[in-house]
Amino acid sequence: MRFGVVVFPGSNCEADCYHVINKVLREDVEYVWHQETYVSGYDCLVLPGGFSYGDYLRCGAIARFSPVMDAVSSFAREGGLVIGICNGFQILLEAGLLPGAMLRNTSLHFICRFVNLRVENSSTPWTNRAAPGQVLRIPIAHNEGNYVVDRDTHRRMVEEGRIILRYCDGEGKVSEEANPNGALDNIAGICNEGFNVFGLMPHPERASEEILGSADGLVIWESIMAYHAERG
Amino acid sequence: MEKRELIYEGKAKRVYATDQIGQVIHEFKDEATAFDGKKRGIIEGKGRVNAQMSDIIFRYLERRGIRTHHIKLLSENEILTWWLEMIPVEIIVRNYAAGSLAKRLGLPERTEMRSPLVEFYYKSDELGDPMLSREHVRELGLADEEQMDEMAAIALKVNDILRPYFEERGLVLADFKLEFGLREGRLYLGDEFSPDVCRLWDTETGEVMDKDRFRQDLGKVEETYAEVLRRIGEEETGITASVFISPKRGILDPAGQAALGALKSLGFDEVGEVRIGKYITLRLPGMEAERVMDRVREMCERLLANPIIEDYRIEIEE
Repeated sequence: MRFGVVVFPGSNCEADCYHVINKVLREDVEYVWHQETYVSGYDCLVLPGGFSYGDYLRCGAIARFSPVMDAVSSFAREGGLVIGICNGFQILLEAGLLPGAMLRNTSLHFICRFVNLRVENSSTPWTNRAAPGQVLRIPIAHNEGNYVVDRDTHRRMVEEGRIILRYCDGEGKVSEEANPNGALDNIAGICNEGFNVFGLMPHPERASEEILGSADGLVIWESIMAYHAERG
Repeated sequence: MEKRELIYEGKAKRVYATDQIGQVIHEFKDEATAFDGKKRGIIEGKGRVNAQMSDIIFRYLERRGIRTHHIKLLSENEILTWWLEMIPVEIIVRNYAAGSLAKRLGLPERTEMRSPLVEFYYKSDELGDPMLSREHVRELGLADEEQMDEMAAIALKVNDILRPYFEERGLVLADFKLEFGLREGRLYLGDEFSPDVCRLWDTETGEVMDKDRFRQDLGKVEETYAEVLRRIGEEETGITASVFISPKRGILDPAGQAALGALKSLGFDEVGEVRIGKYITLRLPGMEAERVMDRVREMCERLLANPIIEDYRIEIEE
């Protein structure tokens, strides 16, 4: 399987993603520069975390107009797998590849810590290796993770099972106390209608080796590989 | 204003007729040539810079009593002017020795002239724009004595106006070229004023800020053209649009709530709600007032605001 990690000016998690794919998953991976106008030969594109374009104006607002984003959009339209992590998620929102927007955390603090996430749909390309309702321990690190979306879209996403991850406590209970940033309905990760575009605030690449305190992130990476292997 | 047929195409400009008698549109191109067309290239954004810089400089000269062909900037790279019957003589004013003069007279580059030099060149591609004496001009019948005197006098006056003008903007005006033409029997300054037709050096660093960057492959050509325009466009008046962006009604505003809490704790109990947004000002030199609102709205929709979470309001000020 071949991954492409898209690098914007100000991305800072691209090396972590590259490392996990290359050294832990032992799959092919290449960096894709933000100025590329054409991407081909990839099975999955990763939009990593960071502060693309300094997060000026709004997180992801300028990155979405990078030349590479047209290529990412057409790749997604043709059913290609696209995962946006943290700032990558924000870019996907700004680009309209996923619905909704991010506000500042209600605490007004940058939050960097482990959180618990309940897998709400385990039959997606991103979570097929998780048991239904499995709790994953993966860190978040962001200032704008307070997800909002209009009511109709939210209802439709719930009905279609497109809310993939919710913030929860250690036992898998979704509660206000377990919500780190004020996100609507404790939403931590969502999919588009075709389930081939996935955005999530937590960083699975920071929790893919036991030495880092958790290897739960592997559930997501291995799901992608399983999906790809099955699809051929 | 309707753009009609192409009348003339030069190395850096196209001139079109309009539906107004005696008025033409100059469209500035990105193409660049040097050394009589031996070197060619594209300087991205040059047409835009040269049109806007010419607009600013010609208006500045008009305000100081120089009669020019300029009417107004029509778009980012088009200028509306009076049509002139051009005199095929280029007038060069030199404050410093550079380029061909330094070579011809054996002067070190950047030697300051005792007083500004005025030179005449024959505008002829076949002949390679040779230098002319006043006798040559008379002999060829290109202009009469009176016109020669007037062109030289205007050229020196332009120098007196523009040298301090550029100095204030951190640029040394080393030399420049002017072209004149006739309209209703009177002499008008025509052509353009841009980094294509003058030499500018940064006052502090001495860096080359003109077409020599292209001629001599000094790099950063596009950036330099844009920088020159930025420096001279700075206090240029134009339309200013203010964009106020605020969190949409019904959308939680964590920063506003924090400020509300702080105000209450200071005893400002009268405050019912605080919403914190962004304030953006946009300066739009040379833009037609009637187009501004639509354009700025488009900027808000596409980039400046996120309609999912933000509302915006636009104020236009001339």
